[in-house]
Amino acid sequence: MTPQSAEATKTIKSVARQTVLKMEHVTKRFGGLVAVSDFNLDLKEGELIGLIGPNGAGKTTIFNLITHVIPITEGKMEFYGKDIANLTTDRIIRLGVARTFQNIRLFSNMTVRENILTAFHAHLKSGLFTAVAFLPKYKNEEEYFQQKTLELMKEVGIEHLADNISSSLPYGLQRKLEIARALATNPKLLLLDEPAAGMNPDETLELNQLILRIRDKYKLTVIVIEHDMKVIMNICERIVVLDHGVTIAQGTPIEIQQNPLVIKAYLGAGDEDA
Amino acid sequence: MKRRTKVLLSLTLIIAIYVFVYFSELYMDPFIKRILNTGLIYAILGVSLNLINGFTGQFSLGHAGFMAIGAYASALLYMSPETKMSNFFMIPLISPLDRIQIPFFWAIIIGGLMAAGAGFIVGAPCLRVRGDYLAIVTYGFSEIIRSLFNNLQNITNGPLGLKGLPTYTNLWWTVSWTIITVIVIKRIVDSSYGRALKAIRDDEIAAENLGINLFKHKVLAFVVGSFFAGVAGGLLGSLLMTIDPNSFSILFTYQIIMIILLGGLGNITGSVVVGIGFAFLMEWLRFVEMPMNIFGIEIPGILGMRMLIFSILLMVTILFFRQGIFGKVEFSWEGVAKLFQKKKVKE
Amino acid sequence: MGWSLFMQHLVNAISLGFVFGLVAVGYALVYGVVKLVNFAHGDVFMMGAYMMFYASVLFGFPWLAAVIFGIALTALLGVGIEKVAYRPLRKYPRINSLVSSIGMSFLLQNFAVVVFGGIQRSFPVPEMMKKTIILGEVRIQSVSIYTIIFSILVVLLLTFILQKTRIGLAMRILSTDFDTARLMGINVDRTISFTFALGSALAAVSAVFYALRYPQIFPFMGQYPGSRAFIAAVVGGIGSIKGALVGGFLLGMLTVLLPAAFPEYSGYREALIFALLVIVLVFKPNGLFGQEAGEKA
Repeated sequence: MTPQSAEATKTIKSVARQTVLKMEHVTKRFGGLVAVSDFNLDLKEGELIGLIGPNGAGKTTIFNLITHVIPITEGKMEFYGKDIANLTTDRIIRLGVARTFQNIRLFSNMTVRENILTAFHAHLKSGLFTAVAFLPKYKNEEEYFQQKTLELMKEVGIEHLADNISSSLPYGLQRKLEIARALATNPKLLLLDEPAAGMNPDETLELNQLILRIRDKYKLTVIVIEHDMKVIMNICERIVVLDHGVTIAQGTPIEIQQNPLVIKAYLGAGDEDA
Repeated sequence: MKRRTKVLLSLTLIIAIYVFVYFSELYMDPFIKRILNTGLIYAILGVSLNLINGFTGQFSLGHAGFMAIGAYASALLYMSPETKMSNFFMIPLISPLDRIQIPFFWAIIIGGLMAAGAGFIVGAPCLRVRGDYLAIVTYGFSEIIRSLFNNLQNITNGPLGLKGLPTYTNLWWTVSWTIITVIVIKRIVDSSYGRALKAIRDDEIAAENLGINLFKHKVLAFVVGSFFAGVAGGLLGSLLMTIDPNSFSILFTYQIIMIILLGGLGNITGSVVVGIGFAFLMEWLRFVEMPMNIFGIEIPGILGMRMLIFSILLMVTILFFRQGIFGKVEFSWEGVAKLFQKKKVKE
Repeated sequence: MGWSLFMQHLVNAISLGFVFGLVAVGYALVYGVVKLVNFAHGDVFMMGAYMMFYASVLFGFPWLAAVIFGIALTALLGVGIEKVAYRPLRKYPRINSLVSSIGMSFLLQNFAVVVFGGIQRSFPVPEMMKKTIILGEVRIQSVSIYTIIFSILVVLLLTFILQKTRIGLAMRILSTDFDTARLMGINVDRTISFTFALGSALAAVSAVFYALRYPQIFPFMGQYPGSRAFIAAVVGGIGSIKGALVGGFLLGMLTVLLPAAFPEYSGYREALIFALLVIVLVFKPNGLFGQEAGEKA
């Protein structure tokens, strides 16, 4: 275990914390195909957990289920005790869940700044009339958003590219932008889908530090889907392993690394990355 | 540039425009005035359709339907009872419409509001429908309106239409409404709501996953866009002095689509300039439909040549100028300032 | 309504249903393969009618030859339009292609006004199609019979092409998964060209039967059948051939039987049909037979 995650584990084990996300017996079927089978999760505030598994294991599907991009077939899902199984995606986001995408879904026609600014809209309190008439209430909100956008850009280190079109950014920075944008929705739960994809080892190290930093600074709970073990093993306190929709193991990084089932299903291939 | 400076500059521009209107109303050739009025109405139509299609990325083909609602609603309100009686000679107009007469301004507003209401009714269910289908469904709505208006003789006078509409439309009204349309829609687009609309256009799923309620915002675009379409319809009716259901067909909508394409999807300046330009271009192109004498050879006028040339222009734009003539370039005071700076440097 | 009158209306409805069905199928074929709402389909239909007209009237072709010539030319026209107006825009967002098809529709209509003239022309109807067949008390137009018979033949031919030929297979694969098809070595460009050729030919065939019923042809004649094609294809399930046929049928039936059953409301027919379209789409966004094809994260 690295110094970073050891430190993290010490902190969380000491306090009894709220349950952020509870998923019970969640199953997703597409016609005859079972994409996710009997998935259970009890996620406590402040935890940073990893979700790993071979391609097609159902990891992104879990994210899609949490944010209701697709509905669950069976099971229960609660966010801070509130049943979210039947809420719309945008409602769930506004409750405090944010996610990034495996394939990066930035607004390619907008600048870096605009991408992040857009994310603040979810929490805009001014009505349309107030905004159009540029009344003081709106003016203040807009200024606040602009200021926060600058802070977030600085947080991930892209403020010097603020007015560049987002699609012109190098891949690694696009991923960081997506994270900054997700943070703009003021989330309590952050779902990161393969944030390290396409990054070199230096960038990956930066990413690890970024994730830990924002987890602490913004008081987040984080689930990370990753294939890159340099991320998972170094920052995650707990890891859930999926294979063909079934949870085959759950535990600390050391436990997972030594679990024969996991090694058989997945880590055999993963070792080449780590 | 400071916001206050921009506001002051804009106000100055507006005052200058009104001065122009004052003198135009007195001295401008009536023929040119009519074209200008038409052009401004096209500008309103273009900017309002651009809000729906260009900024929110919802491909609506229903604009003519909203225009028709605005045109008829306002006409039935500002027409005098006598004019109404002479129009509804076959089947009388229902009460109390046959007796009502209200000032032009309010009639236009109500026309716009009714069109906005239709925008809500159309928008709400239609937006469940996938992108390409939305074009067909909104087209369907436009045709439903046309069919209804052709049949509800006791309200619309059917295919005979309404004739003898008083001419209230003049530059004061068209310019004012154009200014209002541009200001309101520009404010929406530049605000947080505009960012949400553009996000929906760029990537609906990403927008939704940032907490943006797709439905609410799409309906918003529809309602605002159709309000101004209704206003434009009302203004057009009073300009042309006659309206009938069949002039508000899908072909009219196609023309507005062409205007926003040529001006640039999502470009307000483009819609205004091309809208006004379209009216003048159509008039100017009339000459190709007149007999001409080239090098002593008499070429007979060919009817429909105007629209053919316009269609070719349109295809060229679609294929080679996908961003329209103006692309992403919008009028801005900063841009104007830069122009002056460049000039200074040259000197 | 008497039995004989009802039978007449029914035959009428069925034959019109086939006409609308064929136009719809041609349109649905293109949508299924390229996912393009081809607003110009109705105008290709119109061009087909004119080409047959000119072949017969100007060049003196015998009727059948004129029809075949017209169908072939229309197929070529379809291929040409695809190459010029749709292919270059394939790599850009869908709205560009949509707008291009609208522009193409506009162009074809205005072209027809200038080149063919705005006044109506009379489509040549061969003698044998002008007859009325009398069965007891029922009077049936021979046109209707010919329409039904030949439409069925066309549908069978189309089914054969789609199910039993290589190009048909290619078309079906493309309509299911565009990207995989490419990887499987299917010549995408050629398949799409063929699809347009086939779709346009179908438009021309339906134009024949339509023009035989309503012999007055004019540049904007494609608007109405074209809109029927949309409605039929969308209600039936966009991209589904079977759905387009069923949708076309439904429309044909409604178009004839509604005014016959409720003559007072005949003027509202259009409103009702479009209302039907909207209602179906709202409750079954993918049409009656369409598949759920969603794009998620």
